[in-house]
Amino acid sequence: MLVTLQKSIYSIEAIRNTVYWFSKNFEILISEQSDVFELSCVEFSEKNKKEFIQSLNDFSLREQINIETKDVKNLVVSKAFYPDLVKFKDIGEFDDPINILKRNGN
Amino acid sequence: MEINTIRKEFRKFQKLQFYDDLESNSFSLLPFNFKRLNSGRQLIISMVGDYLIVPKGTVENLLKKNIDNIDEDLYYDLLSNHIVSDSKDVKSLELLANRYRAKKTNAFNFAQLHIFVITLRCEHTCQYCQVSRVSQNKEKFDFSHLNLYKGINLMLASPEKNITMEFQGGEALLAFDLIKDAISYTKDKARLVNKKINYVICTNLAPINDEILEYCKLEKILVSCSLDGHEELHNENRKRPGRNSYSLVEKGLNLSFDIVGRENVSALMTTTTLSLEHPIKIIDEYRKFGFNSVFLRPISPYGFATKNKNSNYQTIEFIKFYSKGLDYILELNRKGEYFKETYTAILLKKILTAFSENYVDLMSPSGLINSVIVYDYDGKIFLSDEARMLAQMKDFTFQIGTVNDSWKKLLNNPIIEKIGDAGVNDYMAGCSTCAYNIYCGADPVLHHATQGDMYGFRPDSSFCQRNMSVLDIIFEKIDTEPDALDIFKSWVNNE
Repeated sequence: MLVTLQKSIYSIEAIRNTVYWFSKNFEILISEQSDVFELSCVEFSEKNKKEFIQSLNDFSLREQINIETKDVKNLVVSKAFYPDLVKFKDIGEFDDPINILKRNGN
Repeated sequence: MEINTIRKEFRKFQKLQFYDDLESNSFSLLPFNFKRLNSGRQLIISMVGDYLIVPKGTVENLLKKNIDNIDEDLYYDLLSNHIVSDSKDVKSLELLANRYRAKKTNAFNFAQLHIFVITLRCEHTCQYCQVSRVSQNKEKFDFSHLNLYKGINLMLASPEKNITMEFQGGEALLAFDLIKDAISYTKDKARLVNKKINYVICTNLAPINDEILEYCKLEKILVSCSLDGHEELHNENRKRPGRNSYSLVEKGLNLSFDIVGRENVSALMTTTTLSLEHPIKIIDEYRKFGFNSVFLRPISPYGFATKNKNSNYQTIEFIKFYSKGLDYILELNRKGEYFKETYTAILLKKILTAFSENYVDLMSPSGLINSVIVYDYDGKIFLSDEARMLAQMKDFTFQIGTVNDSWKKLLNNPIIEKIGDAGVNDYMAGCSTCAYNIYCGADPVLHHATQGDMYGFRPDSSFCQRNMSVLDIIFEKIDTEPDALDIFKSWVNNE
């Protein structure tokens, strides 16, 4: 069975993550055309294909979350492991999350 | 004085307008992952382990920034659980970094558990034992005094102030005199370096007697024994001449309760093929002895155990056994009896609190070095008990040296660096996108043993299958059984 996926909609990262979890039971080949990725799997039934697409859609959401949050994640992990190396504020600056100091003219 | 004034002002609520404005402000996503529950609802888990069960479509709405489709209460839940942020200020991430650091506290520690395999001798021939059995008469399978003292010196030269020294076997009590020598030596030396040592003896209870227990009471030693279940099952699993292992445990447990007190005695079970049909009988056996918990523990796929038919079962069979057991335990709690399943409680601490649990299998970075060190009877040093079991199959991958080495040499072993890579699940294939990774571990030793690769292939990993299934069961219960969360909270709070 051949599954054709538009490159503008599905990222290769989401496709690879999905293929990874299906590769225990299926041999899936990924090939690339100009606008699409083609996935071929001889053993796929219609049911398998449906499950694959459902999983792919979830991995696409996860990839979107990853793209939007990976910088924050790296920053938080860096700060957690190297608290003195990664400074979120200058030394001596009072932590003022709701701008009390600014409003008081300090 | 000035600072106090400012702090007081911090505590004030803002004018109502301030909070109204927040709703109209745009929000950004913080790192989280999700999975779908059977009810159709979505389980969202933040990077620090806070979770929310949300209506179907919430994740999609969050990604589209479609705030109109998100209920107001849900929006504030998402904010307070660190799923979204309404602040563009990088400083607001400080709290998240502190929370993450708290979850990963173990990564900053050195081993607190130092296991001494005091002897390999044993009078049991348990069918699932991970080490080869050695008859009682071979004194060469005991720790030599010289190696023992060298091992203790290493333990005391390690950085942690509070250390647990655990004596294992074989049957540790067959070398009781050696244990006494070890404790005497440790006590004198520990005082000089200002360390607090807690002692544990793991035993099958067969050799226990008044003299041993009086000594345990004097030295405040915890007694940890093996109890596999009811008499028939226990005797079948734990064979010894006379087929009387159970009656010896029964006698030994009651004597231990009398002399060292219930609070200083614990029991562990191992699940064999024979156990799979009897989760309720096993739990009832623990209740019979007055325990208020049981650890439904699968067999470790190492060493001698892999050669026995009663040690080989599929993970799915274990999960059925665990699930049936957990259902029964929850029913006991509903009837007013406080009783918990230990593995579930370890995971619940990670799910319901800001902290983690010092349990080697479920640590990322891996608990090897950070949590446990094993000194084998012949002076070899391993990264975990499982690593020692592997060595029984002539696989010394996780041996870092011997008691003759210095910590500098031991920690320079190349395997330490490999574990550094293969022991962090945040960046491993299959784990990095898993909603459960903050609760889970990596277990490079198990993957090396079962798949020949420390990184492991998750879709075919018994470790992954077990932990995902157990966590699925926990969250399905929280989602669909109204009183399950209250019971789970009571396990975490020990009340």
